[in-house]
Amino acid sequence: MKKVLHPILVVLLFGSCMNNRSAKQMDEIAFSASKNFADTIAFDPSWSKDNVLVYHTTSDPDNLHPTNGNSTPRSEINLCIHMSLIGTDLKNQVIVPALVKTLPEIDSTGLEYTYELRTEPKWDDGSKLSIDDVIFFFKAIKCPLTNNPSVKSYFENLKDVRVDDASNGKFTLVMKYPYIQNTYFLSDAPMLQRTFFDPKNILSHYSFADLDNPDFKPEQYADLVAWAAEFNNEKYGRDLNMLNGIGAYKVEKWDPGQSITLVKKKNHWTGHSSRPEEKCYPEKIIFRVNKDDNSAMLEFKTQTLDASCLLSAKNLMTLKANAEFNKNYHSAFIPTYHYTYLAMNEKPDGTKRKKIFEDVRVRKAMACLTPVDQLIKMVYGDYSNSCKRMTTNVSPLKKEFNETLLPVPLDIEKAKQLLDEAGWKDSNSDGIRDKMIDGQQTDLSFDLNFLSTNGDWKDMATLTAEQMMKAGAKATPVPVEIKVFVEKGRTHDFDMMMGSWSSSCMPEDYTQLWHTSSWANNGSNYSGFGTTASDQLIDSIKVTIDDAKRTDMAKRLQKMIYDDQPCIFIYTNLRRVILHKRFGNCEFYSERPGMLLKQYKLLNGADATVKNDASPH
Amino acid sequence: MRNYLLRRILFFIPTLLVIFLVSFIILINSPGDPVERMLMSSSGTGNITPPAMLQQQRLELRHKLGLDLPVFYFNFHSLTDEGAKKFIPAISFHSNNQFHRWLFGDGVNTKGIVRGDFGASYLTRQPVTQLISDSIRWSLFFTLTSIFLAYLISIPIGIKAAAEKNSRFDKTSSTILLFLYSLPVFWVATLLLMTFSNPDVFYFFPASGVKPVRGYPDNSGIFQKIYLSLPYLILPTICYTYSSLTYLSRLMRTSILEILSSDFIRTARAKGLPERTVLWKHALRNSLFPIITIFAHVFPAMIGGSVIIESIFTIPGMGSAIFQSITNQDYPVMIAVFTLTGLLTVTGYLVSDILYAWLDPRISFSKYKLNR
Repeated sequence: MKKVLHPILVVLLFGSCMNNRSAKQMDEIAFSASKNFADTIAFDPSWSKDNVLVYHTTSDPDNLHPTNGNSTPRSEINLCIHMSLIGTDLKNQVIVPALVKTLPEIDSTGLEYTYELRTEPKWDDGSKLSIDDVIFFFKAIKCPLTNNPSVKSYFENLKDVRVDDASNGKFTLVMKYPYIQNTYFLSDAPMLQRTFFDPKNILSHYSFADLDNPDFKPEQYADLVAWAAEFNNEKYGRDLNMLNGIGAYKVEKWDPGQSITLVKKKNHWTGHSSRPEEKCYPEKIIFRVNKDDNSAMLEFKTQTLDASCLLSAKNLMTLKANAEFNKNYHSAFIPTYHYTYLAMNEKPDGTKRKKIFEDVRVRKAMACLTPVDQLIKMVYGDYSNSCKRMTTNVSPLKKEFNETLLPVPLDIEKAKQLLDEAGWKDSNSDGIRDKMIDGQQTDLSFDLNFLSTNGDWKDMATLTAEQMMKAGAKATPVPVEIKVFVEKGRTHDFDMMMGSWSSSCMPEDYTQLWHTSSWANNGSNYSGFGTTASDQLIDSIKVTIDDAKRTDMAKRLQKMIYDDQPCIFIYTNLRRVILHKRFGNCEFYSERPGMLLKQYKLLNGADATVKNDASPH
Repeated sequence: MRNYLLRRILFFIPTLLVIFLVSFIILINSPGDPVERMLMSSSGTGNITPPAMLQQQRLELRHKLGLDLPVFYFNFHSLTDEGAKKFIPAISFHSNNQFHRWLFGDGVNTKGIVRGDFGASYLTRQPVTQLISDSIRWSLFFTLTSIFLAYLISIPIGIKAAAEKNSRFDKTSSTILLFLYSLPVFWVATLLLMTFSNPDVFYFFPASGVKPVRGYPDNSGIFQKIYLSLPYLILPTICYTYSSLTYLSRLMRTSILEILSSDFIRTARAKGLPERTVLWKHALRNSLFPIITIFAHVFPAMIGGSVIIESIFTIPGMGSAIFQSITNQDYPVMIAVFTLTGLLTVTGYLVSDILYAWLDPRISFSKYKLNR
């Protein structure tokens, strides 16, 4: 018995450590917004010939209502079952016409955007997309009674929709003021069928002016209240028969907490489309929920999952060291527009939070002490060459990026010099610098808040604190839950915090993060950066439609932020993307969602089938 | 018996009111803001969005959810304005506050907790009752299965260990069970996954979920569904069960040993009853009380699920739902869970009391009355 028990225990205890690490190889990709792989020539006989793509997600969507929701899985699924007036060319990071013929004609004032609907798009009942649908869609979002708070702000600037030529589908969006996102805001807005959501045409009784009027009391109108109650009903986000979209897929099955299965519609109008981006290949797309990263890694080893953007960097690195995985899957680390930063509180109250980072020299010293390269190496290991350091608040992937601003090198001596100049000296020889502030001896010791959600943040905060201590600055890493993290940021109750912002390829409005009003109103300008000059520049950027002029202004703003150093910008986050080699057209993108699932084509398409059994492939 | 049950059920009402109040106070004072959470993206620590109208959106949303109301609204005043009664203090409760809204609804969208309407989830917009009923099935399944298995395995082990005190079996079983007890569940779950769901080691079980990727085939019967799901359920069931084996078997062992040293057991042995009869007929029944006491905790555990096991194996149970509601400050779901947990805890104790009486006829409900 002992002889049997021993090897079993050994296997139990160490089995998890068994993998082939010798196959580790560097990922030699250029720093670009997309990466494509050539189709696999030899289709491995062990691969499934099922034209079903199983995509990894870590949670269910909050719902699948076309407008009332706010979760990443929901956006990804809606991308398959709905379409917007404007789409995004993920490869070239530009917007492209989707349900309209061309991008809008913009008048000289920058306030009127004229579009023309395509004639091909049809709803599932065979009716054509009409201007009626377009007007309903905008009104439904703007109606104060509809439950879409996270979407409404994008449509606040829309003043009216003018029908120019109903028979030819020509209409004009009239905006309240020029704004850089006056076209982009349509790129993530699923179109709605009026006759489906508002068969009695209730919203036609209310004008855009009504819906925008702050004195308008929608609760007083019984028909509007009844319509909104129906529109907000959760059945439009959950009942499979009520998930109505103009896209090529529909939801076939939703197993809560397990999977959502989309099936390609038969004879969908995009089947005859001449636009290559509208081609849809998988017969089914299954969004498979797997909450655990290790378990997801195993599902790639067993080829249960076909694609993912969510596996941790650590586990993808482990998989990439496995020859079998590399035989079966394309995978890469792709730079994104999201970035990781260390924010410092420039304007502390002096009571709750010490006035440590008021002095720009201290902030610059902290930048010199932050081991950015080591942090990148720690998170992305051998694939850190795919990751770029951030030097400003703009991703190096964007044309607005100011390449003249150089990364601050790790330089402890310079940091010490800056701290000396700022008056921070170790007067009591306890290893921590101090200074008299407002008549009190104040140590250069502060909290470094980080998210408690995963180990990477903790490791990064610890390494940063160790480096800072070398110059006599004592940072105490404090793990906080996300709610507390955000609240402390908004209420300026922090010294230093490590977080990340997610962004996109769209032209950026810098108000949210860098305008002083966003500090005063407890918004997202956590650090308190800003002067009258920077505010004026931000206000100008957001209304400058001309790309060249705006780019120049954005570069000036970056220089201001760089000189003030309210944040230490660390790196561009990398997306971890995986696709099974049985699918062709493999391309990964920097822009969300990182993969366009419907474009992946089963390589032996001629033999492709959809099995009806329930066995996992 | 009927009077006793009635009294206990009536006792539920003030207990539940206290649960409502305490849970409400805890939730309302927890850090963070559900409105901010609803406006936030789920990726990173924030999403860069146009700031226009955000402040107004916040205000509107806060108003819609009733979060702009005072938490409580009551005032102290004199009973009357005139005469001696003006020195008598009185308290008036007003309806326009958050607590009242939780209890009695807003009159438009919700009917209030006291009417059994927990409202809709902030996060998914689903009615809370539906969300819970969707999630509770798997938690119930795993909890009941693991309890059944734990009792099935641990009671015989406890009895045998007690009957053969200090024997090799007693020492070995104690060592193994204490070793198991000391292992954290997240470690065991991950170890089991990496060992038995890993093609590099053993690939016996699927790594995630409770059913095949494509769900069950259409028109499949219950047995086919069980057959298809069985491989998915084994590892989570082991994780749910192993830690309670030690506790129950040790409890059983101690209880039996205590009973075996009782006078009535000595009498039974003196009468010449075989040891088997003494143990299984006389000692066992009397040693079940601690096990029954533990059983009272089963009820609240049924809806609690296990966040760790459910996350590792992607089980759509209550643990995940509760965790999600806490991280997203989904007050309606959290209140519902608190309330149900309180209700089931009280129910558990009631069931325990009834089982006590069933096991030991000396315990009567009339005595309860006399003692009171």
